[in-house]
Amino acid sequence: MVTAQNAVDPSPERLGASESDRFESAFREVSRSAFLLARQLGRGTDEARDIVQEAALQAWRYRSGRVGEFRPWFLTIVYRLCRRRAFEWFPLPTGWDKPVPAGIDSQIDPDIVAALRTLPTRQRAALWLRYGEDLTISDVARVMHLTDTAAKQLLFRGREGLRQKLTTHEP
Amino acid sequence: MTPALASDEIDQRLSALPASLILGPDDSRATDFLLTFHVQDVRSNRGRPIRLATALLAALMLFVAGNALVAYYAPTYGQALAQVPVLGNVSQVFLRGFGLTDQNTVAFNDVAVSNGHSIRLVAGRADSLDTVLLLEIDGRGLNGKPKQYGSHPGDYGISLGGLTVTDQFGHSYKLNSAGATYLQLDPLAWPASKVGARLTVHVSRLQKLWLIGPRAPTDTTLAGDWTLHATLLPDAMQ
Repeated sequence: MVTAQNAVDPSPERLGASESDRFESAFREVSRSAFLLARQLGRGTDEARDIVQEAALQAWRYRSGRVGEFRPWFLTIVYRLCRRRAFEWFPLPTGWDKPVPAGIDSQIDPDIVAALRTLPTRQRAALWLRYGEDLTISDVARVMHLTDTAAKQLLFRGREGLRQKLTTHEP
Repeated sequence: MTPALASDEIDQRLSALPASLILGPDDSRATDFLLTFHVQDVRSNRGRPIRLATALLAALMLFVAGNALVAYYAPTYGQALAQVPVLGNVSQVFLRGFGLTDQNTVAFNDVAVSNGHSIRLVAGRADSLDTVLLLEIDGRGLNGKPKQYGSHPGDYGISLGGLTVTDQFGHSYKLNSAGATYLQLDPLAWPASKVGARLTVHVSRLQKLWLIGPRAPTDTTLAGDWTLHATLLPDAMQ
């Protein structure tokens, strides 16, 4: 079975590749996910791109400290950078959640994308990591710096929120 | 309103979301751009300790320069700095360069030589009433018999017209009374009266005291260029 760990770590068939090649390969696999996570956390296109780039620089710099698979580790960095308070000319009041910026849609299920936009940021991020990135609950908890139980609760509340939105708004 | 959705249906719709996701043109460009990331463009972290050391050194130099600057303009700050338990030991080395110790003012041994004559600033004090400076000219004036000073050839005094005294803030002090080697000036002006004064005493002429009298020649002065420095704290602060 080929796992993300095997795709990143040195394996017999990839021993010829340099460390930087392996890192770049792993980054390319996760860059779109990281970008979408940043977007789900309310960052604009340019901000999300810059955050993923900065995360890549940090990941490369501190690569020796990585524990576990590359994907959740990298998404943890992206999540942390996204949660960092950005400088704004007109900062929103504390607790004022930023909605997902427009630009991401679904050709099959636009309703669920619209419903996701209305959820609080942390619930949206948890649902995206669990379903969009197909991470385990433990990895969701690790990325968001939560306990497994807290991650489960966040996912439950997110699903319940979605259910209410979809029930209310669907024709 | 539709009937409540089942949990499984929510899960299925969420799980199907990534495959059907459409990105706008800007987002697509951004994701394409991220694929071009190369670690070769990133500077290695081998330079990081050097950058850190440089930053620390720069911070230290900034700290020392900042303290030196403030200690120069505010001698009382320098005196307070010298009394800090650990920092004081280090800062005293610098403070000596600025004429201060943790106890009192010490800048009074400044000697200037010009035109073959030396003037030494010996001592002084400052309070809310006046500022007093004592000088020696060619090593004389404060020892021996002061009352007889001025009656012998070679006894020079400060020419009142050739004296200026200013502090570090550019304030000039007027001479109120003077003896041969004794100057009584205005009291220190604010802000020097609060933070201490670094006085610059400039003498451009000396008076030939032994020639003063009814039959004195027209010119009894000696030109030169003597500049002396003193650090004074108001009495109340010491």
